[in-house]
Amino acid sequence: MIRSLLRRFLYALLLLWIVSIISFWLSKQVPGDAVMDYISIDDRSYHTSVTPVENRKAYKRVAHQRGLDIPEFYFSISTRMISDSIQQILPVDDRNIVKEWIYETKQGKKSYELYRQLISGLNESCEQQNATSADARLCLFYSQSLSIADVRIIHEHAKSLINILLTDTSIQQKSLDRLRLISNTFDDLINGSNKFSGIQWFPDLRWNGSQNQYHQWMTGLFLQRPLTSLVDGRNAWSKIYSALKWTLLLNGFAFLLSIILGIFIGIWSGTHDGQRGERFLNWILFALFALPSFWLGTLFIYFLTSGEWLSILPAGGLGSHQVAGSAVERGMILFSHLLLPVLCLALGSLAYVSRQVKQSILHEFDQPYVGTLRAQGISEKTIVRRHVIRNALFPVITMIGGAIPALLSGSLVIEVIFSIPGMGRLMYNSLLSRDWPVAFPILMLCAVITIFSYILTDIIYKWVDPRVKVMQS
Amino acid sequence: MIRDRIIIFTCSLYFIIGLFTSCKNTSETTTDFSVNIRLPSEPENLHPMLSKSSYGTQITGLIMLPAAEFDPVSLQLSPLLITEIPKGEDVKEGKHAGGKMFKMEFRPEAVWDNGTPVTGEDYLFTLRAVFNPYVNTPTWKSSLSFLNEITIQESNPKFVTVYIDSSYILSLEALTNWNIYPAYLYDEGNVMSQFSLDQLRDPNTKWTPEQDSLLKSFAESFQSLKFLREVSGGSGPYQLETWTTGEFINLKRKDNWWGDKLENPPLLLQAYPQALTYHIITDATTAEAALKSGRIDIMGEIPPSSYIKMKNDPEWQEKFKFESPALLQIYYLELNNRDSILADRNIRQALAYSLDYDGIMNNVIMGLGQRTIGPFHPSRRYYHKGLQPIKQDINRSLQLIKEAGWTDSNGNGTPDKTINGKLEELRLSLKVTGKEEGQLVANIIRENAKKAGFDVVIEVLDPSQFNQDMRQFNFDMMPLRPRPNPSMDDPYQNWHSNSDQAGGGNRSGFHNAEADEVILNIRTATTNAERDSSYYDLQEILYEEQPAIFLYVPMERIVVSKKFDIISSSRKPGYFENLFRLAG
Repeated sequence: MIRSLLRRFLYALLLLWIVSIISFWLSKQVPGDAVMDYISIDDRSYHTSVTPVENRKAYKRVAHQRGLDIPEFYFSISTRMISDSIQQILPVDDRNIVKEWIYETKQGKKSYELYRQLISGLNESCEQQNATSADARLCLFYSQSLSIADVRIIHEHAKSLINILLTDTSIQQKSLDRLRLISNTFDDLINGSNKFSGIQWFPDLRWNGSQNQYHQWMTGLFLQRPLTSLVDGRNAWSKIYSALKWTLLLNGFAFLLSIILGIFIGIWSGTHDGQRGERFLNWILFALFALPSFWLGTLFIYFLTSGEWLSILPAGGLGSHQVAGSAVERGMILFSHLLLPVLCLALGSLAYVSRQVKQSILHEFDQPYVGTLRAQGISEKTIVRRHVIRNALFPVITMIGGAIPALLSGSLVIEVIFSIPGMGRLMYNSLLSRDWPVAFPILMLCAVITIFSYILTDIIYKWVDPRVKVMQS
Repeated sequence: MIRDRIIIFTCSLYFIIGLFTSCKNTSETTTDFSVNIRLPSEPENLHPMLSKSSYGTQITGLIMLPAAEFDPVSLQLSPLLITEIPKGEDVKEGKHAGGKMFKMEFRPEAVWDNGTPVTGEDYLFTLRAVFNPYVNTPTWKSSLSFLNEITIQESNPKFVTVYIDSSYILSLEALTNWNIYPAYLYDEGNVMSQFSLDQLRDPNTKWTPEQDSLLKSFAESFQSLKFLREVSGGSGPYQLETWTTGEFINLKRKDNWWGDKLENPPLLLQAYPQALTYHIITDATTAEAALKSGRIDIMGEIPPSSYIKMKNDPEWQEKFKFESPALLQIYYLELNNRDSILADRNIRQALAYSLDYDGIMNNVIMGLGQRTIGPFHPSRRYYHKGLQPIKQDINRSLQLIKEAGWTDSNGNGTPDKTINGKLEELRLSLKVTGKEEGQLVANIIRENAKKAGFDVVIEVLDPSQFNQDMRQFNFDMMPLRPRPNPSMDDPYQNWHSNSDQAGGGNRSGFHNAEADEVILNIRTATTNAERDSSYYDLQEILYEEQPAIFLYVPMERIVVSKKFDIISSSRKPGYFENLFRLAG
C-alpha cells in the first residue's frame, strides 16, 4: 500500500512538472509582445508622443520588472549565425529586425555591430537637449532604420543622408564620422553576404543556467516568494486567496446542494423507477441539465432581478456585505446575492448526480444479496436503508473526488454573469492581461488539487470498500 | 397537499429574501444622496501617472485635480487649481531668450486633504517624480519634456513661472493638464526636493551611489501598492473610502471641500453627490438588470442595439433618461500606403467609393453616429464643412480601378496587374480583433468592396498580435478608433512623413510634401485664422489622397435614472458624476 502510494506520489510530481513546462511553453507562444502591451495598453498617446529613446528605456525597465529580459529556459537552440547576443536585444521588435538582417546577410556579428552603432547614434542624436536640424535628421534616420528589415534600403538612406549633412552647418564632425562608420558596416554586411557557409545553419545548443524565466518562476512558486501581480502590483497569493474564498463559497454551496439533492432524488428515483412521477422528474432534470448554465443565469437575472417579471433578488455582485452591521446581516446579504449563482451551478449538475445514484441503486437491487435479504423476510425499507443505499453510494465518492478541482478552479461564466470576483474571473482576467505571476500559481494550484484529489479518491475508495485491491504491477 | 407545501415554501422563500434584501437604507435627502455607477472593468490602480485604464482616469480625475482641465460642456481649458489660464509671454533675454514664459497662480482656496495649501512646490514635485529615472512614466516624460524651467516665487509659493524654449501648439495643455500630486503625502521624506529638475531631465547626469539609492527608494515607494490602491489623496472634491477588489470602489465627498468657497466655481470644481459607488459589473445583461432594478443609477457604453431597444421600450422610458453625446472618437480604416497595391491613390479612392457607408451606419452603430470626412472631429472649429462625406459609387470605383491599370487578365474574377515584375491580384487583408464592432464593419467592407472587384480577406487577431502588427506596419487595412484630446489637433504625429518611423504615429506611411508643409504651418501659426486655413488645406489634401478612409464619429450610449439631472459631454465617459443632481 505504502509503495503504491509513493509511486503514485512520484508520478504526480512528474506530471506536475510536465504540466508546468507545457503551460510555460504555451505562455511563450502567445502572439504579440507582452512588454509593449503592458506599456501602451489603453494609452492612446503612447506611440505618438514618446521618443524612440524613452520608448526603449521604458521597455527595458518593464521587461526587467517582469523578468522578461533573461532567457526563457535552461537552454536555447538557434542557428549558429544567431548568437547569444540576440536575447540581449530589447525591445523584441528590434530583436526581430536584427534577425531579419542576419537572415538576409547571413552575418550575425556584423549585424549586431550595425545594431549597436545605430542604437548609439539614436541615443546621441535623439537625446540632445538643444537639438539642431542635423540632430533631428539623424534621430529620424536612426529611428526609421531600426524598423527596416532590408539593409540595402537603410544603406541607401545612410548614403543620401551623408550627402545632405555635408551641406548642413549644424552637423557635428563626430556625428558625421559615426554615420560614415555605419555606412562602412553596411558595405561589409552587403559584400560579406556572399561568403556564407552552410555550417551557419547548424543548430547551436546553449546553456543558460538558472538565470532563466522558467527557473525564476518555478522557484518563486515553490519558495512562496512574494509574487507580484503585473497588473495592479498586489501580491498574487493574496489575490488568489481573496478570489478563492468566493469560489469556494459559491461552488461549495452549489456542490453540497447538488450532491445532497442529487442523492435524495437518485434514491427516490431508484426506488420508484418507471413510475409516472419518476418519469416526470426525470424529464425536468434532463431539461435543466440540457440548459447551459450561462443561459439559465441570464434568465434568472432577467426574470427575477430586473423587475421584468419579479425583482426579488439582487442582479449580481456580493452586495454591501462588508459594511453589514452583524454577522447575521452579512450572511443574509451574501445569501441573497449567492442564491441565484448557486442555483445555476447546482441545477445543472443535479441531473448527473441523481442519474448516477439512481443507476447505482438499480444495480444494487439486481445483486443476489438483495434477493437473499428479501428471502429472509427483511422489510423493503430496511433493505434499502441499511444495505442498498450504503453500497450504492460508492460512486458518489468518485464524483466528489472529481468535483474538488472544479470547486477551486471556479466557474468563469457564472462568475462573469453574476459579477462574483472568484477564481474563474481572476484566471480569465490574468490570462487576458498576461499577468503570469497570478495565472501560473492558479494553474499550478488547480493542477496540484486535480492530481491529488484523484489520488485521495483512490485511497478513500480502497479504505471504504475493501473489495478494491491494491493493484500490484 | 403538495401544492400547499409549495405555496408555503415559496412564501417562506419570499419572506426570507425580502428580509435579507430590505436591510439597505435607501432614504436620501436632496443634499445627501449617492450615485451608483457601473464600470465594465476594474481599473488596475488609482495612480494617474501609472494608470493605463480610462476607468482609472475617470475616478482619479475626482480625487487628484490638474491645474486646468477641459470643461465638459465648452471643451475649453478651464482653470481648476489655478486662478486663470496663463498666457504665453515672449522671453527677450536670459537663457530662455526666444522662448515663452507662462505665469500661473494657484488658487488661494486650494488645499490638500491635510489642509495645507496647494503650491508651486507640489507642481514641481510632480515634475521631479515624473523625471525620476526609476519612475516608469514614458508618456508623461515625453509630453512634459519641453517644460524647461520652473521658478517659484519665494515670498508666495502659489506663484509659479514656467519657461519653454520652443513654441508648441499644445503648450498650454502640457503646462496645465496633468494631475498634481501632493508632495507631503507621496514624498514624506522630502527626497525629491534634493534633486533639481535640470539634473533629473538630463539623461547624461551621473548620479552618486547615495543619490541613486535615494532615487530608487523614492520610485519604489511612489510605485508601491500603497499608492497604487490604498492611498489616493489629492486636491479634488472626493476621496477614496473603500476599494473592494472585483466588487466596488467607494468615493466620499470631502466634508470641507474647498471648491464650495468659490463664488462661481468651474463645473469640475462643483460636487453634489455625497458618495459615488462604482460597481464593477462585467456582463452587459447583468448591468442592464442592475440598472432596471435600481441597484445602479447610470450605465454607459451600452451596445447600440440594446440602447435602441431600451430607448423604444415604454417601461424603460418611464424610469430612465437616454443621452447620446457625440464622442470625441473617430472610427476610420487605416490603409497601409507602403503596400504595393495601396500605394496607388486611385486604388485608395476606388476602395473609398466602394464602401456602403449607410450600411455601416445603420447596421453597426444603429444610426448612433455621424459621418466624417477626415481626422478632425466634426465638432472642431476647423472641421471642413465644405467637403462632403464620400458616398458609395461602385461605377466610379470600377472606373478608378480601370484607370489604375487593373484588369482581370487571368479570368479568375479578381482584377490583377503586374507590379515590379510580379502579377498581383487586387487582394487586400483586413485585420480586426474579436470586437463585434470591428468584425461587423469588416464584413460590410468585404461584401461591398467585392462589388468593385476587391478581394478583401478578413483576419481576426488576438489584440496583442493586432497591436504588434499595427506597430510594425504589418497590415493592409485595419479599423482604428483613436480618441483625440479636447485640445487642438496636432496632425504632425499621424500625418507628417517624419512620423513614419518605428513606434511613430504615421501608421499609414503617408508621405506628401505639401501636407508636411501645411502640418508645420499648423504647428507654428500665430493666429487662429492662419492655423484654421492650414487645417482646411490639410483636410482637402487628405480627402483627395485618401491615405485612410474616415468612417464615422460614434455617439456614447448612456442610460440614467430619472432621479437625476446630469450634464452629458463629448468627453469620456460622456457624463460627469460630480455634477449629478437630484431631479426636480
